[in-house]
Amino acid sequence: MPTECNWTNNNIACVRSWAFLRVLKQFKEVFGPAGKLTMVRFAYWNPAATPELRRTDALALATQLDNMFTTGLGAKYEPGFNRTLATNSMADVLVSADKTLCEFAVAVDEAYRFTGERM
Amino acid sequence: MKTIRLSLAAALLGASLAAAAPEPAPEFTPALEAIKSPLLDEKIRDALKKKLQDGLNDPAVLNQVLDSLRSGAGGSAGNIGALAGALKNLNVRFKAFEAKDGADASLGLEYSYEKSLKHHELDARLGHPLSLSFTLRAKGNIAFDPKRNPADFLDTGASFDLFGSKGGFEPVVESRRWQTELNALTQLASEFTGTPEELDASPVWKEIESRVNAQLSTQYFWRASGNFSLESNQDFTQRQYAYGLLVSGVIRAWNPKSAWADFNLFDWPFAGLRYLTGADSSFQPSGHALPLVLVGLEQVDPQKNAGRLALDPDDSKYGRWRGELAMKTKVARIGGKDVWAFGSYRVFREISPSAAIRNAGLARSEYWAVGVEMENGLGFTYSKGRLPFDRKSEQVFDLGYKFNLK
Repeated sequence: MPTECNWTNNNIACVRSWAFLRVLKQFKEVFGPAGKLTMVRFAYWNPAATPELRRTDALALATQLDNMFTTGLGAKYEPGFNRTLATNSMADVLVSADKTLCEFAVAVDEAYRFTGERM
Repeated sequence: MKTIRLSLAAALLGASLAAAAPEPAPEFTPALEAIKSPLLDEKIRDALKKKLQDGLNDPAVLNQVLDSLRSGAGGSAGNIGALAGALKNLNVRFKAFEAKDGADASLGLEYSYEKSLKHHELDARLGHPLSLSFTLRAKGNIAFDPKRNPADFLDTGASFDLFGSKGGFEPVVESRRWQTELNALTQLASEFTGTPEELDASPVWKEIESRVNAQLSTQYFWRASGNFSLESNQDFTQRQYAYGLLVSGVIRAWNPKSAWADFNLFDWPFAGLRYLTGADSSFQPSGHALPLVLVGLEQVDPQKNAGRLALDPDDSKYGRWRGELAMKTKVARIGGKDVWAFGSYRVFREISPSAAIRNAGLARSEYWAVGVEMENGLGFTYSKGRLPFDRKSEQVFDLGYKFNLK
């Protein structure tokens, strides 16, 4: 189970997280420098919102990504994970101002097994 | 623990010396040994000590050390690795609190922690997930000299969250083929090394957008939270509890062709600005920018809320309504960077307030904030109003304005 942040396009979770978040207009960066983007640079992050409302927004975005990963890409949950745990894991990162896209991809990698991913 | 302290001091010294001299930073351990050496000139020793002291008072240097500790989670063994692991879900930044009276700034911490601890899947049906979770959170500012903390407000709490979502992505008919081709396209796009604009204009990215957008639909998301909050100052001499039910929700029209996007009237003025400044090639309101809404009914226990009790000695619990509206949208693109506008409005209204509270104007409080920020973090926030409880914030907000330049 990955716990370290290694931003590389050899990692499917990094590539899919970047691509889908970019399609959802959360940022514009190309893949290389995007790994260092912090959550406050995401389009969804409203500096004026309360933590309660920000978590609602984060959960909505995480649920949407979960839908795209599982319905669209056919990703399966890693052992011990289900939809609720996966979306909450992603939301926990999304609400952390200093967390990076690379760290978000770690949460995705821990929760999902994508087609073509090595065991 | 000693190891951590030594590493912290060594890193501070190294960072300070690196900032002071153009040459590469010296090795930490020899630098520390040099301080202890009786052969070292006393002036140099004093200068090194001063640098170390300056480093300990500089939030930027301390944050640099903190970041190095956090990033050391993977490879470091021993105390640093353990500390980094513990910091994984805790965001801590050192910051300087500017004193109003012109005195020296005081060093302090800004922290936030939010993590869901328990989860249960109530309904896993495709397209209609329904989930239950338990989340802990904490957020606040702590000044090492409490008297110099202008934002002396800590919010610590927990919530049971029931949330669900409908829509957002339509299943693909030929799913296996769609997956294979999209995987290949995204892999190819990840190898792109040009600018974001060049990537947007590339056939690969256009193909990805076209295929994904064709499946995107409108997402309806809602969340009901049994919420508990402890609101306090940093030494807990003032505090109050609030608990109740919060309901929040948002509609996200992810597909740009959605009617929710076209008729997002909240975004029309900004869509006009985007069109006028050339950020958008046509008048295209965003379905991503529909406002979030929260309404709640809470019971408040003001047992240690000195500000309120000074006006009304009745410390019995009272009910209050609260509401919040927030949105963020792009307004322009200047110099290759997006410019965003954001805002929020909050209102709290006490149910059946006493005459003393009503006469003091505390039965209802409103607070709104609007701001603009650029992609690089530059921006400003303008806020006006008053939030319940925090006495110092009340003083600030009572003055009417708060203007932050980030």
